[in-house]
Amino acid sequence: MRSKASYFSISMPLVRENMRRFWAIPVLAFLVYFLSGVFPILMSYKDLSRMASYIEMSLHNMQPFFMGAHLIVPVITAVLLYGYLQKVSSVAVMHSMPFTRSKLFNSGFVSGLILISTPILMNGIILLLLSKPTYRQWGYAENLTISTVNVFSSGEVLNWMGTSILIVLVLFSVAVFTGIVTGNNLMHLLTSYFFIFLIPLLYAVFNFYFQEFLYGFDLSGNWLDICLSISPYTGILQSGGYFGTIAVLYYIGTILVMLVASAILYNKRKLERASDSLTFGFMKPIICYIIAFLGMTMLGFYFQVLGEERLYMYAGFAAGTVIFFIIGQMIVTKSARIFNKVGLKSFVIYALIAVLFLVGLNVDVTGFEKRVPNPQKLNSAGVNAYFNSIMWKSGADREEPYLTTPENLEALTKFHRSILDNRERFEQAQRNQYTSSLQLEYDTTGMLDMNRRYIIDYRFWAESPEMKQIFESAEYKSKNSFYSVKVDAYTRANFYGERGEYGGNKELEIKDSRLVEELVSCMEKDFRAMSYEDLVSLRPSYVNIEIQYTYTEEGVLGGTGNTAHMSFQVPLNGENTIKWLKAQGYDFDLTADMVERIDIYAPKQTNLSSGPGAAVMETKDIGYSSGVPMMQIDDKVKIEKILQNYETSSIDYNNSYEIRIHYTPDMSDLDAREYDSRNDYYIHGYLNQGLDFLN
Amino acid sequence: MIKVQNVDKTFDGFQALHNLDLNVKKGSIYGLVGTNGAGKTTLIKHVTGILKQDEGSIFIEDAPVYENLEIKQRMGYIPDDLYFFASYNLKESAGFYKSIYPRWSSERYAQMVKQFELDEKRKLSRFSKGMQKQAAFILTMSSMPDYLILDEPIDGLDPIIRKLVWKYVVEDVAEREMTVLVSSHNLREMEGICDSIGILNKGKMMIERDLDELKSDIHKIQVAFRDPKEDPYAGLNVLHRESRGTVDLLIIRNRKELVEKIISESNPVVFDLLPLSLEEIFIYELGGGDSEIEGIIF
Repeated sequence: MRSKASYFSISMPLVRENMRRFWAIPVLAFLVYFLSGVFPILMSYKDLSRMASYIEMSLHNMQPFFMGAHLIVPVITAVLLYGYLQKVSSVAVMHSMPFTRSKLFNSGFVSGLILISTPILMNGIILLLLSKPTYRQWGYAENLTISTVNVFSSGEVLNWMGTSILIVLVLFSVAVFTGIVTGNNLMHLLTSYFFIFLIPLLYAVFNFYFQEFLYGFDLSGNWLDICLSISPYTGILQSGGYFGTIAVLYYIGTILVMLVASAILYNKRKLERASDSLTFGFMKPIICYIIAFLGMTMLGFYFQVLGEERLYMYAGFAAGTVIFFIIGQMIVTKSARIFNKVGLKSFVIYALIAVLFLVGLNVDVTGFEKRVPNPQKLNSAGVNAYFNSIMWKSGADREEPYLTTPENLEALTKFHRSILDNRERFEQAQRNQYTSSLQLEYDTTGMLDMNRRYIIDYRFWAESPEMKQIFESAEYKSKNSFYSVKVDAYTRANFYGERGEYGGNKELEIKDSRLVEELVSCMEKDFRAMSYEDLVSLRPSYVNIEIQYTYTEEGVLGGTGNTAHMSFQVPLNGENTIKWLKAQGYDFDLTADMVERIDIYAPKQTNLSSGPGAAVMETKDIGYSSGVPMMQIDDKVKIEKILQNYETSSIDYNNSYEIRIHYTPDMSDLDAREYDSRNDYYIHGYLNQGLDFLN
Repeated sequence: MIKVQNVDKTFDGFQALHNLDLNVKKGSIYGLVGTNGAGKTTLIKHVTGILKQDEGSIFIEDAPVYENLEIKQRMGYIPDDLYFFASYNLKESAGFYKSIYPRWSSERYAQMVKQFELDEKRKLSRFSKGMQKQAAFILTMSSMPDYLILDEPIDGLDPIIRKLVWKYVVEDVAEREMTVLVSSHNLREMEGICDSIGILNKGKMMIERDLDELKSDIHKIQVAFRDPKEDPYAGLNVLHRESRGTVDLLIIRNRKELVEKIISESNPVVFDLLPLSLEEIFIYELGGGDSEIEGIIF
């Protein structure tokens, strides 16, 4: 009677023999790790500071040779170790020898563990012996900045050993599993890589579908992180070289699940199926359906390019299903004789699943589109819209507010609901509208965050009471304050006026740190005083100010710190800043007296019956592209009216009038050489409210 | 003793073995013969514990063979389609066999290598098919098996080596009571060495008997009578009969003594009684219709 313990037994002679037969694998792997990782370190061992980035890249498994070895070695090892299963002669001889199936399987697995982890362990030990404090540094002389993070500590080396072993073990266990369920070496190899990259591949494919069918679906967020983390191979790239505790436990769990599943299937494997494509009947429809699904997707989305209507896409789905189902069947049955009752039945089942999937997406069976989170179950939320941006800060995590107060969270979810209520408005007749992508991010109290992305029009955004509430809230003002960034010193302020003659004037720059600090203080006051209408206004700014400052990054020594920028489009009612600028002698006013004339062009007409990239049709007798204005204004009263009303973007392309404000530049501050009187100075703008106000 | 009872095996709807029985006595040589595709190799793979039967049982010394480590340690198997570890030579292979077969005999190995004159250090993959068969035989016999399972063992061997191979087999059967199950198409050779014969056809065991018994039961006769009786063969089990002029050609399944007695009663002028060779029995049993037998046996 066999005891349970026999399931864990191994044959030492077989393990020894495997070592003797496949010694070349660890030797070659060792050389790859050594020559691409350790050897360059040895060459520069006296001064490793210039190798710091390379060491960091290597120890974080971002180095191409390491990643290549991690990908190739475990799969090839599994293919070689379990290759005896794939041939009629070898499978018979090996199983006639005094080994139980468990012993054969376990011995192969243990041999694999040794073969793939030895090169990593040996290189790891060498790296441990070599490890010494090494810091990244950049810049020269007084600007030399040194990171305080030791990239070549023993902890970093141990982390590399751990993550690398975890990566190769997961890949090896997957490749062992595929070896058990496939019947020949080629299928084993192909299926291993297919399975390793299956999840990211399916993720990409499902994204195609979700983006096409689910209103509001956003690619970014948790799902991308989760899908990349499913395989440690892609997970390490996403996690920057470290695995968290949950990830480690999950990968160990994956190895164990693969090990147990493979061991069970090995014992159930019908050895007479050696040389077939697949050795288990249950795998055949799975592989065939995945092939058909990928093919269906490929042709469906290819056909979509041929015509805008969904009908083209569905025709592509149908064509892809037929072609790739046949290919899939031929692969899994290793035969061209697939046109039989069994094949037809399998096809019908697949077709039904595919139809259910597409119908499910069309009717939003999971309620994805209508889901709006409960504000009370949110930790925080963010909103990003890419209309006009009055302020910008480099290095800031988010451009738009990161909200936490109950009032703002409530307002944001209400705004979200209002988008869903107006879905038709955004889906139709928006080609002539000024629209932008809007991203909503919810950090929920549950496991998964929620992200949505919509296209909305400017008016909806600008007229939203919820956004007004959020943008005028103390939380928004505080988190977007110019003082919310860490500054060591303000080093420069540059001014960019609407009027083009200012472009190259070096005097439009302040380098006095004290003055810049004063300026920032004025900017802050104006920002704090701005209403939502000011914040989203399309009116031209008085001037665009760019502030340069330095800051010290955490974890660096020496140097003058990093340089960063922030900018502010000073609104025309930004009295504090304007007053300060004028006091300093900067005048960016554009008055009617300076304007010679204003040319007004007829609106463009977008052809709504065509696609998004449709050609612009010219209307009336005078078109924009002809360069001939429909009207020229030189009356100073009317010019003043236009200056008080024009905006910088067109809201409705069919009804907004483009204007060119021709003006005489103020040359008092300019060098004569910089001014060319032959130049035609004008400012672009739009009249979104029609022309009636001129009468 | 090897005992196979009511074994069924189906491959994707094709029934390879059907309700099959087989009995190999301890210390005997059992010849398994059959047409191509009859199921010989499949049966052997079951007996060696490689494949698992769908139904029925396979016992060696009253213990199931499948996953039985103890039995496998005492079993040697030489398949028709040989396999050695890639890049291994005979010496390296011997090292591996030695590590997994507890009764490995280094003396026998050395003696056989010398006798078969094989280069121990040459890669086995460089050997000819016949030399690979010899290498497999040396390795298997050096593990001193109690049960030797051979699938087409002498294919590709020259007559001298064949004699040598059988010498070792027969000696081990005689000296150690090794039990041998051998499948072959070379019926003349099987006839000379086997104690029992099983004839397999389409996955079923057609005949399974001691070879001597099988041969003494079936005869080919030529007979002519001056005054033939109405039925001179009454009382005999005539399997096949044809006449060429006054001469009758018959295949009869009865004891020799009975055949002689009944035919002699009719005073034949010509009476030749010849035993059928195993090849002829095989052809008769599996050859199909009488017209085909006629052309082959007579």
